[in-house]
Amino acid sequence: MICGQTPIKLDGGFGLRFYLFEWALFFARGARNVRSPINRELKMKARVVVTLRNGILDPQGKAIEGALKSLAIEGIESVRQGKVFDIELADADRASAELVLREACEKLLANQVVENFAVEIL
Amino acid sequence: MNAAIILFPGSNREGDAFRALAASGARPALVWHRETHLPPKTDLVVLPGGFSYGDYLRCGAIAARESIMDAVRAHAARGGLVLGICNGFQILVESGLLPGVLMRNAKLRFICRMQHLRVERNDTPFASAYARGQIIKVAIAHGEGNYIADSETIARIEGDGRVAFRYCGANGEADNPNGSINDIAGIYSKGFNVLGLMPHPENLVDALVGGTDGRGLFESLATFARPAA
Repeated sequence: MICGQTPIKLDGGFGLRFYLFEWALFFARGARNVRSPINRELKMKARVVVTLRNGILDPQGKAIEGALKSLAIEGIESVRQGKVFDIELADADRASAELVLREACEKLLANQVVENFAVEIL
Repeated sequence: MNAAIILFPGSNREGDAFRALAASGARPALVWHRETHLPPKTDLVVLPGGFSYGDYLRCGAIAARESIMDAVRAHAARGGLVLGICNGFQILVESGLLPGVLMRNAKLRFICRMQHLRVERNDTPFASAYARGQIIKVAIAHGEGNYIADSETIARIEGDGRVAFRYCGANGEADNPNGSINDIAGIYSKGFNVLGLMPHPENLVDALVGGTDGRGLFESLATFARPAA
C-alpha cells in the first residue's frame, strides 16, 4: 500500500466497471472496423512453441517433475520444459504469416539439432 | 600471428584471452561485434568466454547471428584459424561452424572448478606444444557445457579424430563434470582449423594464479605460421 493513499479497489468498484465499459466500446467499434479509443488495432497474433525433441535429456523438466512430486500433486507422469513466444505480425495474411514464422523458427527461435517447433496463428 | 578477439555484449574473458595471446608472442586486437570485417591480415579469430547477450534464448544463439560472424565464417572457409572458448564454443555450434549443441549440465549446476583434460592429438595448430595423451589441469566455469549431437554426428567426429580434449581425472580415469557425450570437452572442425572447447586454458598461463597448463594452446597458435588467405 502506498503511504497516505487509499488503495484503489478494482473488484466490483467503479474502476473495473469503467475498464469493462472501455473494452465493450472497443469491441463494438472494432466490429464496425473503426479505430479504438485507446488506439489499438486488430493485428494478427501467433504463438510459437519450442520443445525439446524426444530422446533429448531435459534435466530442467526432470527437476520440475521431481518438485511436483514432492508437493504431493498426484497423477503426473512426466514433465518436459519448453518455450513459448507470443508474436504480433504486421501482415494480416495467414499464409504469408506462416511462412515468416517458419523462417523465424528455422533461423533463430529453435535449434533444430535438439528442438522442435510448432506455429499457431491465433 | 595476428589475433582478433571478438567482443560481444556480455563477453567477459576477452582480457584473459588477450593476455594469454600476448604472453605467447601473438599480436591480439579486440574487435567490437558491430564491425562487419575482421582487421586485415587476421590469422586467428578468438570468440572469448562470458555470457553474450545474457545467454538469452539459448547460450550463444544471438551472437552467432550477428554480421561479424559472417566474416568469421568466411575466414574459417578460407582455412583461417578460429578458437571459441566456453561461450565462444557455444557461439560456434550455434553458428554452424561446429556440429552439435551444448546443453544444460546434466546435474543442472553451474560448475566452477579445476578440471583435468586429456589432449587427444597434438598434430593441429592448437595443440602442437602438448604431447599426445598429455593430461593438463585447467579451469572450467559453465552452466551449459553438456555436449550433445546425434549418434551419426558423434560417430563421424570420433571417426575423423576430431575430439580435441576429453574430461578426465588426474590419472586419466573417468571424470565427466557435465554429462558430455564421450567426455568431450572440445572438438575440431573438419579441416582442424576451428576449435571449440568449454574449459578455460587462457586462465592458466601464469604460475601465480594456479598453473601454466593452458599456455601450450597459445604457444602452439603463436608458433603456427600459416597465413589465413
